[in-house]
Amino acid sequence: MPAPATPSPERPDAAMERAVSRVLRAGVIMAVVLGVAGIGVHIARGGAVLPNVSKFSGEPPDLTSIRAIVRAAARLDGLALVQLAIVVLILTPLARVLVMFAGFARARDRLYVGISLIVLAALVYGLSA
Amino acid sequence: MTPLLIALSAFAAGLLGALTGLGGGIVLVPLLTVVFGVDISYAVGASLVAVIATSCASSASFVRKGFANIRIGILLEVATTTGALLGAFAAAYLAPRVIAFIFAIVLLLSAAQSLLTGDEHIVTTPDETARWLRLSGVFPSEHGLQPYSVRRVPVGMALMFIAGVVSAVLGIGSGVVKVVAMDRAMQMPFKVSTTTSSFMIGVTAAASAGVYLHRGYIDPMLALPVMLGVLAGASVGSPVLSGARTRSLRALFTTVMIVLAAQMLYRSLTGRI
Repeated sequence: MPAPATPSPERPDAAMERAVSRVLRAGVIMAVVLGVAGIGVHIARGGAVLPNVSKFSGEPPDLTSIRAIVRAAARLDGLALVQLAIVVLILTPLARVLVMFAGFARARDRLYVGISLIVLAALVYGLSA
Repeated sequence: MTPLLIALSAFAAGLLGALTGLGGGIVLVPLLTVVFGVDISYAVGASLVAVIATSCASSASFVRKGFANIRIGILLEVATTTGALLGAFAAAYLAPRVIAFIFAIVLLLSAAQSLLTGDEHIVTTPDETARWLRLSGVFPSEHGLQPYSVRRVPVGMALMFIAGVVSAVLGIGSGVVKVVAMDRAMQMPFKVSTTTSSFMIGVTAAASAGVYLHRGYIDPMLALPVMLGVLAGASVGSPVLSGARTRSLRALFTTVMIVLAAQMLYRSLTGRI
């Protein structure tokens, strides 16, 4: 038997939920725009459209480290722009954890500050490993 | 093999996944490897990217509407991200045919689970751990805000660690494990567990996607078409969810999953992957 539902003006984490929602949406939009622009640049410059992915050989170093991707994207390399879009997408969940960390810190919620720091550390480790 | 065809197939996967509520991520890797002949490492990388995109896009609205429980989410992400890191490092030592074999099993389990409908029990009294972690919440139901609580957090955490490993190795959201963890073990309401699971998938997949990016598993011209296709399919599919047609769509999607599982199994056993 579910307990009787009670109306309440606002849930406790509602402000943080709105911030999280905005960050997630912004990240996806940025990634899509950047990715489509990157494909456009790549094709306009006569780049190959067919990916060579039937046998694993690994991507070139220009497309595997974030620093190199940013550097190549700054030269308006189409593929690097597309890869940068993917990096933006991978960083979006990390940004969302940062927003939650800040929200819990503002609310002086030590337990959840600690929990979000562990998740943040795991994400940063994955990106740098 | 053209990126446009890949994007269209990904669109279909995203659409069916959203319409049935089963998530399109699980069919991406078999689709790419079996139909398009993509190497499984590149397929896993592209699928992870697509899974992050759909998770972020769909949870942006779930979270704002108050369905997903972001505290439960971030707590369980401690387990899924560590599991994902372990899975990403372990994947380097797994032969493609082993990954294909695990994939076939997970596909079959997911297909079986999609046919089952469990019972929902809403618990309102937290156990000791849940009280200490302040995991109780409310979600909007037809009768207003419905309070709920959760149980057996340690069991849920352990299962979520496994979900993280599976997500990284196979490049999927691993909803099949998460449902067991949240619906069964932690006794969360369906609405809350599915939306919280979707919320967590982005963070879980991002943990291993970073590792795969460095390892060169993420090909931009494969990952982007897959991501755009799934994202478009999922956003077209989600607002038009209706009861009657969902059942036949579920049957269709489940059939696709079983056929792809059989293909993956065959390829794994014959070594043609």
